[in-house]
Amino acid sequence: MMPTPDTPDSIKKLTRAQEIFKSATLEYQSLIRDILKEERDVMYMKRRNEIHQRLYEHVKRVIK
Amino acid sequence: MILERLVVENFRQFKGRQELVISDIRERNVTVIHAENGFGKTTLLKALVWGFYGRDGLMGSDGNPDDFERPDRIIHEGLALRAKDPLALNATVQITFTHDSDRYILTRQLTLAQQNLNPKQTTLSLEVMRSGQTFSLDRPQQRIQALIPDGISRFLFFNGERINYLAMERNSSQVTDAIHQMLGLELLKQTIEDLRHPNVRGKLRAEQKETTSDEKKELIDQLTKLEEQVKEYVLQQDQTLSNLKSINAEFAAIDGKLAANRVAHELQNKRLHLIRERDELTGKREEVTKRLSKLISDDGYTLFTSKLINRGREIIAQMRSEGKIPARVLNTFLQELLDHSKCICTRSLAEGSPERAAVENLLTIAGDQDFNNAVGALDHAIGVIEGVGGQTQEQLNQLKMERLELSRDIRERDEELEEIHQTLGGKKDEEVQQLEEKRKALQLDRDAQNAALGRIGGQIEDTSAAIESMEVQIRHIEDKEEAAARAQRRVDSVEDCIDILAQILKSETEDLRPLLNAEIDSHFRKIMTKDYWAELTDNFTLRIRKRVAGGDGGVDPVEIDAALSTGERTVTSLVFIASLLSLARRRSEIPTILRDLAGSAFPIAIDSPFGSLSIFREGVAKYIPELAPQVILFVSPKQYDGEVEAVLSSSGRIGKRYYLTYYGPAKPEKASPELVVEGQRIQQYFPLETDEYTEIVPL
Repeated sequence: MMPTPDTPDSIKKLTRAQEIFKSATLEYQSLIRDILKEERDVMYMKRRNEIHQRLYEHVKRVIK
Repeated sequence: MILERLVVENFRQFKGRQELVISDIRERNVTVIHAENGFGKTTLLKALVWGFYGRDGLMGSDGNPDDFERPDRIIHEGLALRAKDPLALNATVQITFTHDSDRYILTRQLTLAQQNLNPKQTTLSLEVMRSGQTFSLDRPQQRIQALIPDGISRFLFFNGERINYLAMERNSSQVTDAIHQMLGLELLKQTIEDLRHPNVRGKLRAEQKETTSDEKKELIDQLTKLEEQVKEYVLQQDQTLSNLKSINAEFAAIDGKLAANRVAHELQNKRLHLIRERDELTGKREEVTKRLSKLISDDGYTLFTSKLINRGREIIAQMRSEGKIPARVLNTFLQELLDHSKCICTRSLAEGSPERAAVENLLTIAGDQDFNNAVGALDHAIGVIEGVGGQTQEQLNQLKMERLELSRDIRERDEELEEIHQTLGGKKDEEVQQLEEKRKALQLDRDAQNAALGRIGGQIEDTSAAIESMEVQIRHIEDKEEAAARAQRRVDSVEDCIDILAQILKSETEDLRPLLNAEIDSHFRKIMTKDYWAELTDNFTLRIRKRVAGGDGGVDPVEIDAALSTGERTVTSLVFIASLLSLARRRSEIPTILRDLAGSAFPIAIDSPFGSLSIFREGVAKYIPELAPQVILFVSPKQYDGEVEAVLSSSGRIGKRYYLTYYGPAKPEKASPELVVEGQRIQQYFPLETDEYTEIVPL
């Protein structure tokens, strides 16, 4: 479950949410994409102990 | 998801193994369970919820049991009391359902030993049948969550008499929450929350503190303190809401006791009637106040413009009398003649010629076309403002009058209620006196809690604003060291991503609004025949609109909000849930930034669906089979008999029908020993001195 930025489908009219995403810097786009992927993997889990550590690591990795 | 069978064993009053086969036929998608109040309707609905989510499913959002007392006592009490081996006795709920052409069997068990130790610790298994083979699935709870997230369960399995909260003005956040849960946007919300977590944002901020200047450090400390304060306020808010829920439950219990008391019975019923009336009047007054505020914010300025209008009129009249408007000759025309050095009478306007000088002289008195247009527009606008001012004054007077009348009616009810309190308090019956005193104390507590709620809301708002401005302040202080600048960038990135995700969530939610409104409108028209329609407003409030004749004897009808009664709110809430279910079914066709949001059909199970519908019972009974692909109704005879029975029976949509029989030493108060369904008399209560239990019997 990730945003859909650079696909051939994007030739179609973008939704407002897609426009908001596209107007973010590439760095933020990449960070948001990674974070959402991480969240999606655990979205149905009762215990999500490591999610915060993972998000923290994504921020540190992407923002140099 | 289509439910096929619910099996309960030793679950609360359902002793031994009992089963309910649920109709899965599309054209006969309604399963009805008839039962008197107190026989086990709610318990059966809760068995379904417990099966899917365990003890957590029985709790409300405030952490208290939701419509289900003592959620830690699941096993049949009599059996538990007599059990010799706590490991050998257990309560079981088994649900068989199909989803995406696979058949699943979910089994949740709780032994008496587990119940005594920790009733949250249940044993859950999930088997799936695919291509003729059965597989046992690992992580069953996670799989259930993926099929039917617990966030949506309260919109699928609910008490029909309590669902009207969705259509209350103050509950717009619950409406957006329902949209997020049912249509898969919860992921964005959860991500925002996780980014705000101390282990993400807090940790990055702590790292920033280690590298940055003392000035910034101090501001970060202040910011952290403010955030902690907000957290504390939110906790207080939750606690207050929880207190209010308990107080309301106690209130209802006392009201019930007073209604059952021979001495207080009549006055108490009158009181309950008056409270309902007062609440509806208060709702109407809120609506009128809202309309009043809107009128004042949109057109109120027109009431203060009479001086300006008069002054504008004077200026325009003066300009007309001086011949400035309309202009006798336009400067653009003269300039054109000068540019071409030729007059329209063919004379030359050569440089230095007297003719040219004469035309140049005319320029000093010539008018401007734009100016002409602007004065014309101003003249027109003055007329419009004057007209609107008159209408606004008239509407304002009308609304003020309406508000005054409603306030008077509310005051009258309050006075009558106070009189009832005095009369009941003065009765010589000791029980009535005590109940009345307790009721008064609870009323005071409730008022205090409501006041606290308002105060805390204000504190949260103020502190959040202070946090926002402090974040800006911190961001604007430049760091000299690279490490500090990087730490700031990381903190900024979290804040910015939160902001972007919040904007995405908002726009995705808003984009769903017109789709939902189309659904709401089509569903609503199936129930309401009058000139009414329902809609979700810009700020996600559910409301009913109606057309009334225009003011001032005007011909054009005016659209206004209809003040909602409890019945109308229930109808609107049901329609909203049905609309969400329709969209959830075709979710994959609706554009979204989140990939792979698959559609899903969900069943719906309602306890007492016809309880608070008043005049809308028949309309809802006609419509209820269309509420969802599969509908399970738990009904008491009082709510079902008459029009509901006639409509549902003749619809041919009932696929399965059951009733609950009760065995026990005394039948619950007001329950009839016999159930009458379509003229057929069935014994539903069986006196039994030694035990107490309920059985599910097919009709």
